[in-house]
Amino acid sequence: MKRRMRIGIAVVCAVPILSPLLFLSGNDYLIQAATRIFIYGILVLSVEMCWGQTGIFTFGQAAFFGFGGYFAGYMAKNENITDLGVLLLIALVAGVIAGTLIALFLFSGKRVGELYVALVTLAISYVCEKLANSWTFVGSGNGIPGIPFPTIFGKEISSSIALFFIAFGLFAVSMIICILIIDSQFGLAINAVRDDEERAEFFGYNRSLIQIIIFIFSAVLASIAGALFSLSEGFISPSSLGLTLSTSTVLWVVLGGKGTFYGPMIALAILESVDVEMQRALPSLWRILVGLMLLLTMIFLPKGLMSLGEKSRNKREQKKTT
Amino acid sequence: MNKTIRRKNLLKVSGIAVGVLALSSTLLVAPSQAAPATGSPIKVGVLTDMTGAFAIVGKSNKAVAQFTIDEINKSGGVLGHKLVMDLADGGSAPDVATQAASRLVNQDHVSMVVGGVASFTRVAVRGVIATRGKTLYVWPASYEGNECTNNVWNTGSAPNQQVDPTVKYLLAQGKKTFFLAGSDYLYPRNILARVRQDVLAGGGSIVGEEYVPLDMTDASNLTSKVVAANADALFEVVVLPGTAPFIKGVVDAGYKGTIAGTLFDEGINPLIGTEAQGLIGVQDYYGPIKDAFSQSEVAKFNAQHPEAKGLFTSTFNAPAWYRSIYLWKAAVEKAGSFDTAKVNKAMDSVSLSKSIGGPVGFAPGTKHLKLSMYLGQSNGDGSETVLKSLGQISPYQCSAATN
Amino acid sequence: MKLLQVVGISKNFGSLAALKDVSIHVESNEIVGLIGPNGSGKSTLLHTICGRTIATSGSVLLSGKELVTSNPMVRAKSGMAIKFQLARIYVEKTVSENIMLSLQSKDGIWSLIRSASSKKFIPKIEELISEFQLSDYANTKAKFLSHGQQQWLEIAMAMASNPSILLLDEPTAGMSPKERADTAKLIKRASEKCGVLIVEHDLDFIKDLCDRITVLHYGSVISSGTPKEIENDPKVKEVYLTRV
Ligand SMILES: Nc1ncnc2c1ncn2[C@@H]1O[C@H](COP(=O)(O)OP(=O)(O)OP(=O)(O)O)[C@@H](O)[C@H]1O
Ligand SMILES: [Mg+2]
Repeated sequence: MKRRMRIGIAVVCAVPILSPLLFLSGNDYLIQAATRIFIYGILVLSVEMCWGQTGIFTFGQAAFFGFGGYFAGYMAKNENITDLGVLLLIALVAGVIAGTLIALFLFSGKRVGELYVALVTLAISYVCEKLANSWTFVGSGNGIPGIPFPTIFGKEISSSIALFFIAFGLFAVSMIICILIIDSQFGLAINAVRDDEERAEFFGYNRSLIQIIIFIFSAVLASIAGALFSLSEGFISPSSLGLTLSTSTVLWVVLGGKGTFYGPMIALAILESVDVEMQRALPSLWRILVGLMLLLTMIFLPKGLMSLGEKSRNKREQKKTT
Repeated sequence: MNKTIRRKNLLKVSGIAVGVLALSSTLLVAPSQAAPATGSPIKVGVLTDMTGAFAIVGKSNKAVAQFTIDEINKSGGVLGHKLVMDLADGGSAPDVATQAASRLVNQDHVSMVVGGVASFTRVAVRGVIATRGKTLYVWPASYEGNECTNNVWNTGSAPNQQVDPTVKYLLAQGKKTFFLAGSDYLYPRNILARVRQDVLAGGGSIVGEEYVPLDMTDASNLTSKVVAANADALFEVVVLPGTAPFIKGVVDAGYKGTIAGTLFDEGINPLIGTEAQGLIGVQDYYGPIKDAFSQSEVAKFNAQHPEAKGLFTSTFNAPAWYRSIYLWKAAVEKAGSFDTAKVNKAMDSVSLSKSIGGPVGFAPGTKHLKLSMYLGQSNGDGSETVLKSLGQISPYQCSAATN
Repeated sequence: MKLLQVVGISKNFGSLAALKDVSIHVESNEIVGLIGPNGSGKSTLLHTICGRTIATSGSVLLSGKELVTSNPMVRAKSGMAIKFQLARIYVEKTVSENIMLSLQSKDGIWSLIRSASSKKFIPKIEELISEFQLSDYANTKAKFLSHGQQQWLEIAMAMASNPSILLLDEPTAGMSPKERADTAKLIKRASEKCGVLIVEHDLDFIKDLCDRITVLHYGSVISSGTPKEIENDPKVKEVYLTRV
């Protein structure tokens, strides 16, 4: 078993063992905050798969997140479909459809640059936010509030702890699937597309198909995360589709180190858990500090915080071979 | 050798991962709160936007909340308990606001939450606070109406309280044709729907109705439509940042009719400039109202909160914030308890004989206030002239379905 | 039928005619050399063959199949493999992974996701890396290899895809004499399995290795024949050999 998978399993085991600590505090706010981290964790995974592993710079991943959130939220509220499994399936289908359309547009033709992909996806996220903001059918600027709790076998899931475990469970499954993909032969191929897509074509790889598959896969992950968000928070609004969330996601990935797999999730966990308190302690400074941190990381650690460990590993490896 | 290195690595990294999780789970742990011991302070959750687009409103809201709480504490608190403000920043974004609201309710266990600036915040947080959190939520803003969720209380003016008297005045002035213009979202659409209804009922006619994107700053297209229609009156609910360019544009293009709206007062007029001259509106408070209590309270506020001087205005919801906390105090005292269910029951009929803006009280069964309202006309220097004191206007009725 | 038949290829970069009506062919198990001064169009010719650039006119036939406008993927699947002038290997991946990348390239996506062939390829990887003297570096990232080793790795990757025609752009550039000699042996061995088209500067290296040689000058073929014939062609002597 590879290192990445061993860590993954360690995390998956550690959470249920440690989480009672969290529940004992009886503090729903913390449980909800942790739930949110796992939900955003799925979103971060989707960007890491696209950008970190395949080199597709998706800058507008929130569009899929919000899309899934709106679909599931609308169905739950207006069509009385509350079964969690069905709602997640709806989000999955929505993600496949949206992801396929955009992936075909972006990747079925000639090779396009990383920046082009970033701009197109960013624009899509922007347009989706605008659209949701002015479309009365989905509540315009108010979004969809009052989304009912999901049900499993007809039983309502309303406790924070249950929602925590649902979010964690889906996160764990998504993470393990991602690891399995990266560690598979297909993972080698997507890395080859990331590192030199033209070269991969000269080996006979179907570069365009690989990009389309990964893009759709990550759209589905983001969409499921969005559905989970709207169901556990009880609302979804245009900002969940838009630029702020899209850029936050990229920020987590850059800070943690794209391509390092765990880096982005660690950055997310740290930033999200201190965000509210820091925002409270340094109301006008905190956001600026985060921006500064991003800038400094990009200048001094272009591969993110996790690259510190990578460097020493490389050195050891080099010593071994010479 | 190779194996041990790898195992060490594994241990180290999983150690970090576990550490991060443990940190994030224990860092913020606060002991949960039981029923308040006698004399212990009571937390009042204050949710407003200290950052983002509405930060200026947040600045006013925070100062008003602090002012009101200080005043209550000076006169002995509530049921012998001092109040403390627990401030949470909604960040002008609904997802930030829900997180902030959750902290107030689930971690700090506040006795009640007052706040929210935009409606999108209200609809996002009311689930966290009132429904799932079973905590009293007071919504202190002039808004589009129809908020009747259990545990939620509306203390701002509802569409009928602002729109009905404004349209009545315009019709009485002989205005027959109306042009309606607003930003494209729920609040303007609901307000203008009410305007349309009132105008048609009063024998007037609508000659145009236009909606523009929320973030519109170039108003020339809308301006030319309004000028071309040349209606007797323009009722506009174009929100910031579009308000100023739109009104300036219409006035400068030589529009001769009367301009009315729901968002004109000393807070907004200065942004419009001299073109604000003659704007018509109805609010629950204006600087020059003839009410001794209001005059002395606002003077005290300005003295105690120089950082928010001039921000005690109706469009910043200042009078509503002030009365929200007093109404809740009255309900707690009537119930003799801080228990949400009991206070919720008592809220239904509490009233204040004195408040900034005049006497107010809940009309039982409506979750909305009977409010003292004033007809005002803006001046070019930003100030307001009160044309008429309208007395208490009956509240809005929720329709059966809530949004 | 000839294995690789390139007929009348021209390539213009704007007003620059990099290739003018170039024809060349390679049979199975044959090594054909392509020489010419710097900028004569050697790399450009390989690129039009492998699909990196599309020829302005002409025809590229592999076992009779027209590929001149096909994309690189189709050409690779039809049996072409190339080693570029500047090695293009995956420097962040290990030597074994690089070989695996080439070995598995013709598997379907689903088979890749299931890692269906990973076990099957292990002996093949071991065989290739020992043939290219990289056994000690199986799990070393390619970026830590020496210049010469990187070139070998790229040839090994090309061979791993089991090509019918192997295109080599200056495989010995920057190598020590010993490495060159080894490379020559490796290429000789490769030609037992496929046809080889090799671009080189060093005539001594190439004349012992190749069955035939073609000389390019300003994008045109000025001579073509056995190494002996080329060595004795006065035109070649004039434009090329005197300068080396
Ligand atoms: N993409 C391109 N765009 C414009 N000109 C090009 C391009 N590629 C090559 N050329 C030009 O075409 C000519 C042939 O170049 P090519 O690289 O094929 O030469 P070469 O024979 O491989 O030389 P060398 O021995 O230096 O590798 C040169 O003049 C070069 O500048
Ligand atoms: Mg060359």
